[in-house]
Amino acid sequence: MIKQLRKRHFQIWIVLLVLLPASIVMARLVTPKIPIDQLLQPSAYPAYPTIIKTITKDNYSVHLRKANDSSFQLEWINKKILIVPSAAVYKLPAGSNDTKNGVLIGRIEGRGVYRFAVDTSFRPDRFSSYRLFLYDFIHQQVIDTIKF
Amino acid sequence: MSASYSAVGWNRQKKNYDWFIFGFCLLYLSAFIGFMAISNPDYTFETALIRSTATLALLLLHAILCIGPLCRLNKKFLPLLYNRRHLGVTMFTIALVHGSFSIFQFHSLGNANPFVSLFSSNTQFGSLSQFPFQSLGFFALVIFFLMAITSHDFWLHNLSPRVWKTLHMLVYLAYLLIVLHVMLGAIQYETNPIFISILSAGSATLIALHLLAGSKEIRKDNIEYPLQKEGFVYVCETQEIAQNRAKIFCLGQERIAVYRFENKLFAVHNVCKHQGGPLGEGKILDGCITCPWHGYQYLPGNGQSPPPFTEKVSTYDVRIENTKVWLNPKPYAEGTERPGAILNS
Repeated sequence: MIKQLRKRHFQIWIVLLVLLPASIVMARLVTPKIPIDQLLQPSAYPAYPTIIKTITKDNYSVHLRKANDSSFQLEWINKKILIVPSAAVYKLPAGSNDTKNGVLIGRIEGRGVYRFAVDTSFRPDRFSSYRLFLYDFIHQQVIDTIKF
Repeated sequence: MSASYSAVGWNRQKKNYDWFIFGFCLLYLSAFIGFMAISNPDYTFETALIRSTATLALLLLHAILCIGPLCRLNKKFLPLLYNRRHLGVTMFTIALVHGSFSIFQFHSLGNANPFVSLFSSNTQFGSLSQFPFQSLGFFALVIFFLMAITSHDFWLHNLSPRVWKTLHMLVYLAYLLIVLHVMLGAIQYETNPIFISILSAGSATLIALHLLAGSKEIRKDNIEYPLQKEGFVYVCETQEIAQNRAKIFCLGQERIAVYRFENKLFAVHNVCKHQGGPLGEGKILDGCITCPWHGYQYLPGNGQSPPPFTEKVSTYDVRIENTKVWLNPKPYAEGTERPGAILNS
């Protein structure tokens, strides 16, 4: 190695002597104390006490729950991580395949439990006229259809 | 050596070196993935692979960057330097697996091109904690890629040593990018202090080794030789130079190696034409000065590589008076024959 190159190496490490610890300390200072929740959905609400309907599939199970005050809740439990990035649950009238005619219930992401408050149309005697659509809105394709 | 392009010349040492690297990498990845499967069964295989390759590539990068200064501080580490580029290519391959699986897992499931997604899914360049750290890793991987594909001597000769060395010194920039990639990425989520402690210890070790080796070299360069006459400089006594070995002297801007061979002293430029290795730290094998880094050879009398090789280094005049060695720092053209100074037996 020539003298100039040795000097260049030494100068680079003098610069790194400042930059490396500064980078580490700076990044440490801005590290959030609580890990950032990257899920778009908030944490799941507590489950309503009574399960009135259940549908079980290979990758997930869906429960329709009821509270004491007769309000309803849709509980979605992903057993495996979804392989699509943008799954949303819609309520659609029976016979319709167009999400424009439906109501967005919520968005499903990775593995875990999702609970959504739903209206009284989810009463068992009324829900026969609706279906749930698990829909990939980026690729615009139906992933699954659920009928209670 | 480099008479023409040739594939990697495998010898037993290179094979052993590479088998050791391969075995270590396999063992590390298996142990890491196995441990994750037991301790965190929720993680997918892809996640385990991304994490195991990330930590392995980081470990190898630290090892690679340690080898240079360790060799400056202690010659026992020289065998590690011999095949350092194999370690570098291995590190790049593992980093490539990490990068590829990360892009696949995080950017290939949408309808945007994964590389467009890599640079457009997070544009919070103004925020440190939310900084798009993946782009830092990407740019470091580009540097490692350029280094890996130009690691063969063919590129060293075609790009010229100056360009090649400049390109390969980008590894320091890549290292800084990697530290930032880890600190602004994984460390923001994995808040366990063990991770930041390990990374800090690695960086501190590298800085200490490089500065220690650098200051040792500077001390050598700054030794003064005040006794001069007729263009010659008094450098040492004859008995200070062992048979088939050399002593190195820095006169002005250049280091000169004075070798003792067959009852004569010969002086050549200390810098090997291959990768700038210190010729004076090598020894004479089969009548040739042999570079300790990669085994390039030069004849002591004229500084030429033995045929068919074409490398040449400058030669210098040496004079002996009684037991005193005098050296003329004015170089002859590369490959010029010099008679050497005869030692009194």
